[in-house]
Parts: sequence; C-alpha cells; structure tokens
Amino acid sequence: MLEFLLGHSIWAFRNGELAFARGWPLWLLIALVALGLAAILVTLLRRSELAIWQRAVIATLQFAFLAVVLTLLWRPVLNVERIRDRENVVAVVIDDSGSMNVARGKQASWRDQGVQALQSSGALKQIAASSELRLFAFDDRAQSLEALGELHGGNGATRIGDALTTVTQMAASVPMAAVVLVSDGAENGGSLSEATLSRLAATGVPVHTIGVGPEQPDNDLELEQLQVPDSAAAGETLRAVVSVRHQGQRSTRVRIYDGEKLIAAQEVPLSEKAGLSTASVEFPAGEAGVRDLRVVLDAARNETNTLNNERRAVLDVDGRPRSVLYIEGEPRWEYKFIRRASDGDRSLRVVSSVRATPNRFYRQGLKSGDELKEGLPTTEAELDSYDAVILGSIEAAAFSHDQHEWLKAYVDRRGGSLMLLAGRDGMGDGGWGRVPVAGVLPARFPGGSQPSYGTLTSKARLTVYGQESPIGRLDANAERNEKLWQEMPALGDFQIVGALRPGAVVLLEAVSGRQGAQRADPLLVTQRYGRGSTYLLATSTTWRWQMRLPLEDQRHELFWRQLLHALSAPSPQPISLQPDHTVYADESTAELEAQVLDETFKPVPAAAVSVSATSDSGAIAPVTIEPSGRDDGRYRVLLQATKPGLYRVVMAAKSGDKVLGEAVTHLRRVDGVREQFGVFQHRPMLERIAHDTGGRYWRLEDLAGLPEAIRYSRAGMVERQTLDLWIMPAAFLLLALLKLGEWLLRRHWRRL
Amino acid sequence: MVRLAYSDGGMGFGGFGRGGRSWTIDAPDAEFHLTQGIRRLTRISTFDPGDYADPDDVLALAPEDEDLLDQPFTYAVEVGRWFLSDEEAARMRDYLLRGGFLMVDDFHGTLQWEGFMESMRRIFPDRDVVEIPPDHEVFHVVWDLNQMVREKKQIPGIFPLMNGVTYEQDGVEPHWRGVFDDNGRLMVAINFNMDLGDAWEHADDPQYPQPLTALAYRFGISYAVYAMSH
Repeated sequence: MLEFLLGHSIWAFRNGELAFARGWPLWLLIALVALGLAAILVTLLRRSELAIWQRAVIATLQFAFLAVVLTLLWRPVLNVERIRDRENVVAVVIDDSGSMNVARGKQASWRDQGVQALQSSGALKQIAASSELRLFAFDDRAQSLEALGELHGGNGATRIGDALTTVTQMAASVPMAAVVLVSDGAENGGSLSEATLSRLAATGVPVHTIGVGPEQPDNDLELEQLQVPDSAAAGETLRAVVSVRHQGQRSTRVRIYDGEKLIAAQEVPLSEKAGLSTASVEFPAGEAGVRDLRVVLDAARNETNTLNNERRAVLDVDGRPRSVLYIEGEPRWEYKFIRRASDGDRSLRVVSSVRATPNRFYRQGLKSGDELKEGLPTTEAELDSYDAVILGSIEAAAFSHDQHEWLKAYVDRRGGSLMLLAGRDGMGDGGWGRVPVAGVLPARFPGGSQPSYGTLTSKARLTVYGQESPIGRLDANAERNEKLWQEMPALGDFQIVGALRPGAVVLLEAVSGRQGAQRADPLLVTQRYGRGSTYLLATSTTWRWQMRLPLEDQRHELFWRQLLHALSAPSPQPISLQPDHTVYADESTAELEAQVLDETFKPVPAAAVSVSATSDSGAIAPVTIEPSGRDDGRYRVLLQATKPGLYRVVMAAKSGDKVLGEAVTHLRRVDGVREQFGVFQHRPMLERIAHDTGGRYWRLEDLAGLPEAIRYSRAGMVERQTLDLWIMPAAFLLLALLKLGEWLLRRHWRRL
Repeated sequence: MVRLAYSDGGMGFGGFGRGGRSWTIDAPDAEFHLTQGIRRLTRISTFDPGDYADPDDVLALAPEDEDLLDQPFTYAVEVGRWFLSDEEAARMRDYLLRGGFLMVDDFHGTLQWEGFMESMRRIFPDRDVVEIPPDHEVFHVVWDLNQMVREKKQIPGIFPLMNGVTYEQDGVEPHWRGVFDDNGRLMVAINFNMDLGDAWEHADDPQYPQPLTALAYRFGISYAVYAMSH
C-alpha cells in the first residue's frame, strides 16, 4: 500500500537523493511560495467574518496546497543507484556452528529455521532472479556450498568475523552487491573485533543480518564467566569469581572440584531480575601440584541445557611460598603485627630485618643464617630473589647508592612490588623523595621542613577501586564488606603522601575530621611502573584493627594477607612459561610465552631452551619454539594439543653446561563446550554488524522485504536511475485532501 | 611503656606519696631510667620522660582502661600483692592474647609467688607458667643473655644488697619464667626473685653495683624489643 502511494520502492526513498529535474532556479520556487503566502494572507485579512484562528487554519491549508503544487511544478525526482540485473553476486552466509544445529524439541534447528524462512518468504528466489547467488556455510571456518542441501551441520566454534572477512574478500574480484548472514550472532571465536568490523565496513559491501533463535534463553542457568588465578602458592586461599546468567532464579549452588574431589561449595544469591550476577567463592589452593578445576552450577528446575553450567580451569600450585622482604628501621608494633598476620599463611614467607639498635639488624623468617647477613641485601641478585619488598620507618640514607639503584630496577626491570609504610623515618620524612626509587612511586612526597608524619585519628574507607580490589575484600558480599570496613577501629597516625602521579590508584582513604567537616586523604595508593608495581600505605597503626577488635576477629590478618599476596603474586620468575590461557575450548593450538633470565633478571644470551608436553592420556604434543628476535630472553612456544586432555608442559633452559632452571605449567583442551554457552540470539551483535556495514537487521518474519533492499544496494555493479516523484499518487491525494479539508471547514463555519 | 595500675585488695604498700599502692613501687625513676636506656640503645620510639610537666608523673593504666590496648609493653611490679578481679583478669587475658606484652618484676619467695599465681590463674586458667629456656629468642634478640640465665645471675633490690645478700625472703634462686600463647609467643615475662626495677631506679646511685644495672638494662631492653617484634 505504502509503495503504491509513493509510486516507488520504499528502499528507493531510503537510499536515493532528492533533486529537482526542471532546472528552474530554486530561489524562484521560494519566491513564488513566499508571494503566494503573502497573497493568501492579504486575501484572508479582508474576510473579517471569520475569527482569527479560523483564518489561520484556512491560510495554512491554502499555503500547503500552493507549496505542494509549486514543488510538483519544479519536478522533484529521486536519484537512486540500484544494482544491475544479472550482473552482481549476492553471498548468502549460513551459520552452521554447533549452537545453530542443536535440536529444539519438535522445532527445527535454528539453522533450518533460517533457511526455511529464506525459502518460504520467496526472498532467496527473488534474490536469485536478479543476482547470482553464492552460498557459504561456516562454523570455525567458512566454505562455499553448491546448494543449501550441502549444509552438513557443524559443531565447531562460531567465527563470524572470519567468515565475513573470507566472503567479502571475494568483492575484490567479483561485483558483490550484498552479503546475507543467517546467524544467532553468538560469536565465540574472538574473530569479531572492532578492527574486523572496520575492515568489513571499508569493503563497502552491506551485510544484511538475519537473526534466528530467541533473544532470551528459556529457564537456563549459565556460568558465563569464570575467573580463577592460573597460579598460586601452596596453602593459599583463593577466590573464584563466577558470573552467572540467569532467568530470574533466586540462587544457585556453586561447587568447585579438583578432578572428582569436591574442594568448595557455596550458595550464591542471584539478582532479582534476569541477567548477570557475579559472586566469588573461596577455595583452597591445596598442596603443590596441578589443580584440574571444574566449577559447576546446580541445574535449575527443568533446565535442558546443563552443559553451560560448568567451566574448567587449571591452577598450578607452587610449593615455594612467596617471599616478602620487610626492612624496618625501628622495632614497632606495626612490624610485629604484620609479621603476626602472615604467620598463619604458609604460602607466604615474610623475611624481615628490623634495625633493633642503631647499628644492628634483627632478622626473622630466615631460610638460613646467611640470608640478609648485613641486614640489607648486599647484592642485586639477593634483592631480586624476593617477590615483594616492604620498607618501613627507615631513612633512605641507610641504603647505599647501589642499593637505591637496585630498588628502582627491582620494580622497573625485575617486575617486583615495592611498598613504603608510614613512619617517622618513612616516605618523605625519611628522604625517599630524593632517591632514584622516588620516580617509580605513586606520589611525589611533599617537600619542606615540616614533617609529613604525625598522630591523627582517622577511619579507613574503601574507594571505588578499593571495592574492586581483592586487597580490601573482607567479605565476598559488597554490602557486608562495606559494613565491615565502617566498623573498623580508627587509625592513630597518618603520613601525607603528597601529589599523586597520573597513574596512581587510591584503594583506601583516611577519613578524618568531624561529621560535616570531614576530609579524605589517600591511605593506600598503588601504581604500575615498568614491569612491577609500587604501593604507599600512609599509616603504621593498622595494628589497632587487631588490638581493638575481639580476639576471634580476623579482619587485620585478612587485610594483611591479601595485601601481601597482592604484592607478591604477580612477581615474575627468572625462568617462566606462561600459556595465554589455561583452558582451550574447541581449540587445538596453544600459545605460550617462555622467558629465560638470569638471577638478576637480565636476558641470557644464547640460552638453550627445550620444551616438551605430554597429556594425561600419554599423548605427546608437538611443540615449536621461536625466539622473539629481540634478545630479551623471550620465546614463543606453539603447542599442538592433538586430543582433549590435561597437558603438562615442561621447559628446561641451559647456558652452555650450566642448567639455568626449569618451568612447568599445565593447560587443558576441552571439546564440544564452546557452542553450549551464549545459546540465544545476540541481536545487538547482529544489529551492530548490519549498522556498521550499511546493511539491515532482519527478523525471520520480515524477510519479504530483503530482495528489494538488496536491489537498492550501492555496492557491486550499479546503475543510476532518476525516478519522478510528481506522479506519486500520494501527492495528488494530498492536494485533494487539502482542498477537501478547506471546503469542509468553510461549510462547517457557514462561510462558503 | 606503661605501668600496670592493678588492684591489690588494699593489702599493698607503695611509693611515698602515692597512697601506699603496690603498683607504684620504684616509680617513676625505674621507668625513667629504663626508657632513657631504650632510647639510647635501641631504635624504639618511646615517650621522652623529660616531656612530662611533673617529673613525678607516672604513665600508668588500669587493666580495664581501653587505652591499655594501645600499649605494646606493660610493666607491673610487686605482683605478689596484686589481686585482680575477674573482670580485670579477663581484660588482661584479652590484651595479652590480642598481642600485648606484660613484664612482671620485684616479687620474691614462696608466699609472694602464691599471691602472684592466684591472680595469674584467673588471667590464664588454662595456661601454665613455665621456665623460659636460656636459648629462647627473648634472650638473644639484642644480646646473648643465655649464659646469665644459665648461671642464674640474680639482680637484687638495693636493700638486700645493703644487708650483704642478693635475695629477699626465701627467694634465693632467681627465675625467668613466662606464659606463652598457642603460637609460642611469650606474652608474660616473669622476673621472679629479682628486682630489675631497683637496678634501673638506682642506676645513678653509687651504692648499686653498675654491672647489675647494666645487666638489668639488657634484660629490660631485650623484653621491649621482643615485645615489638614477636
């Protein structure tokens, strides 16, 4: 009906450009319209028998009539481009991945629903009548088809970006008018990046996307995301962060298995509305070795797809506790309580050296009597052997020039974490703003002769960043966590850290002053620098959290353990082997990065590196090693995980006859999993592809309009056409309605 | 460092002008001298006794005082005469288990030991008082004092010394005893049959032997460093 009234296809109006074909000047049209308006107004002003508003209505109708007539006299036309018949190619790309081929009870699979809609709407036939049709199917790779009957029902991953890239590359050799994509949009191969979308848009070929499948899964729980560290120290307590997509269920139970052994279980509340809920579940890292983790959600009632209730993870547990070097300038309670908090955590080894007397250090937590014999590290290698370093109330002058250089390199090159604590000889008051390491710290200490350290009663408060950080997480529940922090006893001292550097992140604030006149100052600040991180803690009275709370309260211990783990966990090792991820779902090629450094974390020239990998079923995985070519001690390791299973990858490094060390890591290949997640129509993704490329998103029931939309495509071999608009039935109908309206109004007002 | 102002059930006797309370014995000279020793020989930050408006002021807190929880090192004398209520004992138990440290001194003989233990059992009904072994860390944290402990080097009060002996009542043999927490941390250091307080108090008195004062300093300072590091 609309197309009858407009006289042309709606797509001609969407894609065409309006012009006037008569060639008369446009200013003349405007002048005549203005003149006509003046004549109408003058004429109507004399008709005093009508009220003003009535005359305004009549004037509007007459003016509209005159304007339409004059416009039609100028001969409006649409300049359109449309594809030439039988000279273009249209590619129809069918998503044949696992999620599209799952049987849906009595209903056809989503892939078949899409194909049937294309055929039953006549769209495919009409497209084929005007263009050459080329058919493609894809899952994790695209292939051409002779006929739709060749669709074989794949079960691989979905790589929409790769498929569209492959198909549109044809546009360079054949005139391609459009691509029609039939898919649920559940890209899971990581191929649809912003860069890919930009490249697709740059080809100029519009991609029309046809969405199949429901936009919301029905009665389904899905473990959409699982975050677990890939390494830990023996005895450490870890947190698995689970993101659960649900359809309004109130709660679910999360269970964590190591192989078949249950190691943790927790009831997780879900948000009231359907959507995504995130929670964390604590679990023990256990003894040294590999943890083959399985995180499982209990199935919802009558849930049909339970394969997406489970995700795998691999955790390498290091038997070596993480070592933290704590150098303190004076025996004080903060020192004692930091040591005490870490005592119960066997995954941490706090080696401390406290200057008990003016010329004597007292050492604790030593491996042997030779460790820190002089109180401070005497070689760079000795300093680099620690995973994190804490400096308490000790003046910078206590360290030699070399030791200051080592400290800076410790953060920048070695990748260690360095934390400075408040104190009478700490931070700026200890001269730490005037030594090389000052440049790597997250704040510029205040200058001047006024001490920055003093007594001040304040309360610690988590910032927005602190709420996200594991350091400040005293409870997995955000509300309870905030309450626990609010109830913390007050601190008794404070040190001004000065101006924060641009990359600094404040995790805790010290709130002081009376109600209504409170101020908040940075209390725990961190920043990344080079390969490592630096921290400032502007108090030395966290011991009050221990002394002023009941004996059984563990907040002080928990805070310090989490802080010490945050400091020491990211510490790289000289010989390391790191997979880009630990679980390869429906992937056979694993990529790892190996690094071979000496004890001072400098590259070893001409190191001999060997890597071997075997699965738990005994299969040997082929491995290739490529040096980075930059003499930085890095190597790229590619591993072919030929069969599903848990793989143990061992790297050995030698320099001449000297054994430099060994690194071991694990990864798992799982198959038939990826397509079980995100099993619903991802309409926003499909709309985005269509929008960026100049195409359109289509529902199955609207496909009748698709051939006409393709006909007016601007890609491929096109011809320009000029479509007259003055013959539009809608224009004549409008003129008739304007006059009829005026006549009826005059008759109604009895002023004919 | 703070002196413990304990209850003595009215049975005490103490420093002149201090109402006859046992906990005030040797105050303030004992802690005045010890504090100066700590300031001179260690890096521990202590209050400066010279800052007090009245040199006779004593920094003392009762067991039930909340501010005791801010004190890392508590010193109690004449504990043979202390008499803690159940509430005071509970407060002391909490203070010590949370991380506090108590050094007790200047009590002698069987009778006073029993008086001391009567309240100590109320603080820790389930913990034993044991001899601190000579090789314990507290005797090595700054100086190696193990030989002194092994040889049972008694540090006497000034009055017995004037009488030519080193002991009071039947407390002939000195003991370094202690109470430990579940992790082996020394919470209470007990100088039994000794009077370190006199040794500090009379550090500037020619009648008190300098070697004994020096030894008393070493024990006192070792306790303080231990309290700040364990």
